[in-house]
Amino acid sequence: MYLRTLDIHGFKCFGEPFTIEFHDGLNVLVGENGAGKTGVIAAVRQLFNDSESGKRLINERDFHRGFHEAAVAAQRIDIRATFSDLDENDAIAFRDWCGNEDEAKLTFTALNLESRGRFKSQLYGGYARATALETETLDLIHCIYLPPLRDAETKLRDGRQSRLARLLKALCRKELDTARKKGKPHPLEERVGAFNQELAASDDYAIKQANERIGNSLRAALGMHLSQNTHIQFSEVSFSRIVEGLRLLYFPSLAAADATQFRSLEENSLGYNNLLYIASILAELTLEVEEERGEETYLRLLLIEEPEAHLHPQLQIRLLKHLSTVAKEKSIQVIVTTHSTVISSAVSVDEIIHLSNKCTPVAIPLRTCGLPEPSRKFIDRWLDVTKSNLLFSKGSILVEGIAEAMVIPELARRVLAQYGDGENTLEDYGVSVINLGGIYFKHFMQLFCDVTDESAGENVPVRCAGLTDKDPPKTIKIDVDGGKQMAVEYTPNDDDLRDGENHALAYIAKIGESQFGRLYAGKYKTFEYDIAMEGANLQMMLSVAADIWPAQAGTVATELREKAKLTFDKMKSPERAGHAAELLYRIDSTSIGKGIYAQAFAEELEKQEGEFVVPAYIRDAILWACGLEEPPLNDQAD
Amino acid sequence: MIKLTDEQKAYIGAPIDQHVYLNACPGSGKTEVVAAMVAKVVEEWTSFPSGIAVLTFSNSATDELKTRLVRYLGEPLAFPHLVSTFDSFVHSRMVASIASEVTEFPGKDGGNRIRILENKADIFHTRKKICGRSVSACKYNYDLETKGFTFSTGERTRDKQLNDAPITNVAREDLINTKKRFWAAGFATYKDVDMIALAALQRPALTGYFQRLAKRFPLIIVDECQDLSAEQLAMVRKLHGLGVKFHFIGDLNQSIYGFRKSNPGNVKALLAELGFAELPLTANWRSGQSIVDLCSDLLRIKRISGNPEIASVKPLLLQYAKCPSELIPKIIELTNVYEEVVVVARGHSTLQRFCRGDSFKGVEVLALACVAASNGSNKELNVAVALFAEWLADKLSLQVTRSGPHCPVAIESKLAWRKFIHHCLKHLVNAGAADTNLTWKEWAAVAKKTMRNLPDQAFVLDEISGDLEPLRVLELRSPAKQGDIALSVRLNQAVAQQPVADVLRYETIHQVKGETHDATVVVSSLQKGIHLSHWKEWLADPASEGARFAYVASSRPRHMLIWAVKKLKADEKETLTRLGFELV
Repeated sequence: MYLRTLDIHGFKCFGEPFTIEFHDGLNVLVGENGAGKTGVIAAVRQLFNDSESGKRLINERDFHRGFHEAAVAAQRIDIRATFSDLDENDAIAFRDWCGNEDEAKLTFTALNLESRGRFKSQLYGGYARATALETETLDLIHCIYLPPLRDAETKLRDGRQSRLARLLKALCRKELDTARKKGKPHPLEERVGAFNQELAASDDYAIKQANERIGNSLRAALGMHLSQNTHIQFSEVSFSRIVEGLRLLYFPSLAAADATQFRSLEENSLGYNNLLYIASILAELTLEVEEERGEETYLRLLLIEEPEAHLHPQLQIRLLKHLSTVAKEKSIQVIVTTHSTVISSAVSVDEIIHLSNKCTPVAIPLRTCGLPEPSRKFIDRWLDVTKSNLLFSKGSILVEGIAEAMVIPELARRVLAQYGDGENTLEDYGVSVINLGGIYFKHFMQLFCDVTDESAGENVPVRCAGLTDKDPPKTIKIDVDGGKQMAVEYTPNDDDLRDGENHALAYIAKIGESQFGRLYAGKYKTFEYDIAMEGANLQMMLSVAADIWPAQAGTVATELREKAKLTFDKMKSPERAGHAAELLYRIDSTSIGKGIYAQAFAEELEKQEGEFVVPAYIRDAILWACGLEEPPLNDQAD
Repeated sequence: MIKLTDEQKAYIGAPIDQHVYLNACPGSGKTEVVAAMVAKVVEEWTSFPSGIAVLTFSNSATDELKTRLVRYLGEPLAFPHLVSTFDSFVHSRMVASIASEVTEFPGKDGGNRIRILENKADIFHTRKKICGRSVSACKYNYDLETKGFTFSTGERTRDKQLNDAPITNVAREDLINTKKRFWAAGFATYKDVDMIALAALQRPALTGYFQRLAKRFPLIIVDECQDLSAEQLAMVRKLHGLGVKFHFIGDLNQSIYGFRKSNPGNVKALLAELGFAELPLTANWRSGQSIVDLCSDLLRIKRISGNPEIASVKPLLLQYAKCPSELIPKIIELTNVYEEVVVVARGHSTLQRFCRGDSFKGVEVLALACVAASNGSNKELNVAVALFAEWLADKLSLQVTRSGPHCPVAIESKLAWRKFIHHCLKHLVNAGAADTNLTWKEWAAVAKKTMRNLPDQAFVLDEISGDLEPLRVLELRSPAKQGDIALSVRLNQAVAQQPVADVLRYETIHQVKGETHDATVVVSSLQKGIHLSHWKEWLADPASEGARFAYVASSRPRHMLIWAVKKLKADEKETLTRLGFELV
């Protein structure tokens, strides 16, 4: 059995009816601040008695209140959970929640009527509010919530209801029950009891003397009738008190160490204490799964907000992978919220749910985006930490290589300059440039739109612009005398445009029909070429090439500098094409290389000097990703 | 209902410090009006911690009213008010705490809760034989009206024999003493509870107790008041004497519980005696005019208005030669535009001619539970659990609560009870009791053996291990004349109890009381003389229960009413066409 759907209305940011679909195992909720991640977690907590953080009480601010003028607080909150995949035992236990259906339902409603500091609320199981909820049924679901800022040290500390105490009590539940029925003490209680007696009776430890002195002093002061009796020992002889006095110690590595070398948790690192805390919780939960041990539960829900808190990336990855495994093997349903690209890249795309809140919150599980299996596998491997930005930005520009990735942000400044400070960079719009390292648009863009007719699915409601090259053939055949054909180099220009060979071009039309995705292809050839073909850009581009040519005193560098002085904007397109082709030849040569060139080019652009024309397709992509609508520029070749 | 008529508004604003009778014709929107009125009273209530009690006669009616109230109040009706059945109110509010003063039950294990048994239980027999056999105290009740005893043993012929036989004084003494022993041991039937309540109301020592009760519930609203029995009316009279005000809601013309000894004449008399102010609801919003007119004419009462927005279709008459099931194709054809189509008959025997959907009894229930449990679907498993739990609880005379299902009072955790039943079923299935290829005789042997060693199983709950002892000598016999027949013949229907291929629902008149259908087919039996199930018995006397049966059944449909009768003679045709029917 697992929690399949959550319907929320009137609670926190969910002014309109909102639905989120989970799957069995690990669920990772990503989304920017304000998208509703905490709201979803709070809604789950509202349904169950959380054993770790205590029951969540409804307060006034939980009732949704819009931000528009004259908005009033919602009159009621409705939270409904649907559970699926019940086996025989689940069906018997949760019979009342199923009614005549296969899935079980649990509903919480609260009215916005305060009475003595509390709001009227009801919790009922089943499809209609018929009978009162049996609390023993509710207790069959064990929900644990870990908040984002955790004080692991306090939680792990010894004392009442400490984590250790709970775990030990859970482990010894059966033995404690039998002992209680027989009226005999548990073996641990016997041992400690004996130990206490030994301490108190022996003359070796000065405890007996200390006790006598205190006693004498008290009797002298108060006399025989008013005085109390005292006793010094390690703890009361009850199982609870004994295990509550136990402390967890650590040692920094797995190397063999003597018990005396272990240290108190206050000396441990913050991150590691967090891990210990989570480990102790998992220990308790996995105990419940093993039959005949632990308390009987039919569903275990672990809610963790921002597990990355206090953890180094390496540890984040390990923790998440472990949670994913534990979730599957030990049938614990884990729901995690995160801002970390490390975490989102450590898990499979099938486990991620994207939350966004443009006007109303929307939850899109990535597994519903219509990704064909090959794409899914591809993305799982390729969605590393930097590419994960895809899921966390307000808009994204997908590019093919490192050159584009470095240069586009600078070009964006030029395009956005007209909007003034605070709105003239990609960061201002929360847009990320993501280097796919290849022409993999078909896989990644499927998340945001339907790339082909066969791959219909949900779409993550975030704008995504793909930038790709036209890639026409490098050589073309022309007829020469004698009826033969010769292959010559093809330099695209306004008078001679041919079809590209890039197979990503086939998707442009279908993607263009979607709401969030667009794929833009260059007009001519490749990234640097297309930029070179516009206006007088060649002036800057040739200078940059000249400046980074290794042999500065040689002919190539000088030649490049000379050429950079030409008035390119007055030239006709074919002539410019020739220069562009030469620039490309120089960039691609081993003396420079695309990456080095791009880095130098971007630096030059950053100076923001001089005129520069951004090619239309790049401009369109930038505006699309930033969510700005501008009429497309007319082609201004020549 | 958005707009309220003046009549409806009048009741919603009715005074709560007087007795009021809301005389509601069929289709008047009574439940909605009552919910609105209760909501208003609750919202304006200032006499906390006193509250109002709204009483109905069935769990489904209670549930329906509770749901409507949630809609009006935004939340369920809470303390100090309550909605429950009349029986439940009498049992838990009037009798539970003080019953021992009347029954002299000393209590068991520190509690003196009465264990209510149905007539399926069989303990505490009369010392002497009556009409050949001794009778169990669970199978008869005192009747206030006749001042005699009414028998309900579950077997019709025996009931008739006992009810018709004259009871000698000696037998009467025996019956009374057996009941007293029964009560003193902490048991009672539902009707006994009424008698205990009445006895308690007479005791001077309990006057203070009942005065406090009257203060606690100064206003009691009774829905379907026409179903009040003589005993219940007596209680009403007594409570009135203590100052409780009553609102009765119902329609005396829909009184059809004669077999339970409800007599509308008695209710009418009480209304007059205690000075109830009558408020009428005389507009039928459910049905088209011609249906409404026919119903009024059946009882020869004043005609009322129907719903003008529903096309008035003349009631139709279908005739069958030998068996009403001949008419099924025609019925389906006539009603195919409608969704909710119900076929109604007076009793199960007429309905049985339509489908095999009759109920299972006794040992068949046990077999059904085993088969359903092995079928694999979770829904059927839960149905199996409910069936087995009910069978077991009945067999062992355990007092159970409604939820659970049928969870014995002795067991705290309903989940533990369900798991125990689940284990029992698995135990039976593993022994082969779910094999439908067995004959009933073979199956009974297997089931008996397995049940007999049930008390020794490891999964038995401590709280009831003692109660299971009687199973060691359990007897199971195959149903009459089925010994050599395989289980599959009888049990091959789906357990889910949904109408399978047929689009039609089949119910008795008592089952459809209060419902709204799109089309209703009222089936008359072949012959007269079987419990007023023939149309001639419906038309014979407009003041009789027969007429009221027809009235209740015929006032269910919105659009189309059909009567299905045996082939008519010429004069019979005339009688019915004059009544308003059109022959098909």
